[in-house]
Amino acid sequence: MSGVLGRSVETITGALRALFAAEQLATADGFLQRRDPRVSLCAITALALGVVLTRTLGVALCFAALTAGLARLSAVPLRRLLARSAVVPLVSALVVLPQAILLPGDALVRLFGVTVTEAGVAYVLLFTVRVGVGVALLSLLVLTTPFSALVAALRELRVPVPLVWVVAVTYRYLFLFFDELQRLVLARNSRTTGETGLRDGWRDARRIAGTFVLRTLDRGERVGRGMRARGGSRPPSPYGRSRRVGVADYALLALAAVAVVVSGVIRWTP
Amino acid sequence: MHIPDGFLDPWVAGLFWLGSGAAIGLAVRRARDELGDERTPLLGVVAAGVFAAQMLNWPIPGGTSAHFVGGAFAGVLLGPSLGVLAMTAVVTIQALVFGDGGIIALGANLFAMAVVDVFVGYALFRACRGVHETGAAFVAGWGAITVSALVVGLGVGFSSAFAYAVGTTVPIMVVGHALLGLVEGAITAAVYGYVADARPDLVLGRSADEVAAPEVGA
Repeated sequence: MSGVLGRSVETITGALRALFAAEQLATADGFLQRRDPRVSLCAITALALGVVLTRTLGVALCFAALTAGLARLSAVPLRRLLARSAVVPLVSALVVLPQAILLPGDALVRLFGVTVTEAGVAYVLLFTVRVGVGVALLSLLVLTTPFSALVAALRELRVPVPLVWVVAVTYRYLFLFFDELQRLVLARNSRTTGETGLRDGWRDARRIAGTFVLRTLDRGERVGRGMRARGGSRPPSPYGRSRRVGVADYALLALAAVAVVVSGVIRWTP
Repeated sequence: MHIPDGFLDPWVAGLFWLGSGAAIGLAVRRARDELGDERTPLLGVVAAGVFAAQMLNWPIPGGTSAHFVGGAFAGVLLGPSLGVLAMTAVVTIQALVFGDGGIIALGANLFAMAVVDVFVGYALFRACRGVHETGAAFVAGWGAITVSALVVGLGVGFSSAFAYAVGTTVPIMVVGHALLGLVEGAITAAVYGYVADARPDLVLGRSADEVAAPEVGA
């Protein structure tokens, strides 16, 4: 596969690989996998809120340890969680790195005539850990809860039904359209020889994207006609209802609630 | 454009949740009026198409590539309410399936990419289409992504969690995305032009009821 346009196939393949890997882990036998998806969603959201609230490095590190513990209990390899979550905090650290010298405070070290302050380094560390734990928590949810279960959870958490249906149908047709787009790019690539310039690349991309959008709309029409032929009913739901909430579910919710309260109290206690 | 958790203060994230919740709630109500309960889910088919179209690599000078965001295009093709719903599905799946952005920051990401991007794109297209239709699609794509970046810049700039103030975040986000937005505008114009040539009946304002996808919008 050659050319910028041809790299779209790699982009699609990468997205599909990440998706299938996550779905595979979500079927493993682990602590979070056994939880009701409503509980997983609410508990992870609460823990993320606790991390966002904190302004103390020690508290942020406690949340990091809690996240690592949950990953271990859920059979999610830490190396995999780190690999999935590392890029965003590292980029974030680069963004806030100048604060190590910009923030006023006691001098920590002098390098090439520039003073690195204690307050600056503390801020960069806190910000990076906070972002990293936030990303890791979302990754943990993605890796341990199948999306179909999350959709069912959204329905039961009273998110408007039409919105949940749109999200569910989008997910259902995503694989089909990935495949369709991949075939269009492969077909175009097989008819192209040599390197294509910028102008030709745009012409090809325009044709592929235009054809793809038309096929998408055509597919929507056909699905609609099919629904009308069946009597105008909604497509049948592939998503079952959530499981019953058990003791371990309540324990996880309680842990998350306590973590948020403690984080808030530590932040606002003078 | 996706904001991860840790960049926004909880109160800023809460305000974004309120804004996106109100806009999406309104869009759901209008979609039910326009499509009815039975056909609203079909919008997901178009949303899946927009999502997949984001995977296409568009060549840009320097040998690198750019991706389509598609909010303005969704607004132009489907109208604001249906466009907001389609992009809400896209941004939600990006977060809950691919882990893009954050769970607390999801409200902000929805507000920027599913509400502002769609509404601004639609408004700019409507305002400029009388002058030149494909040019209006370009302005819609470019302007929508730039205004969305302004919203993100304001959000992170007003958050004490992020050490840079609005005076820094807004210029960086706006100038950066005003440049990147040229590519988004060009892609929006290119795809809009192709669709308008091949199926003029699908284009907003050319069919009797001003809705693009007949089965989705009729």
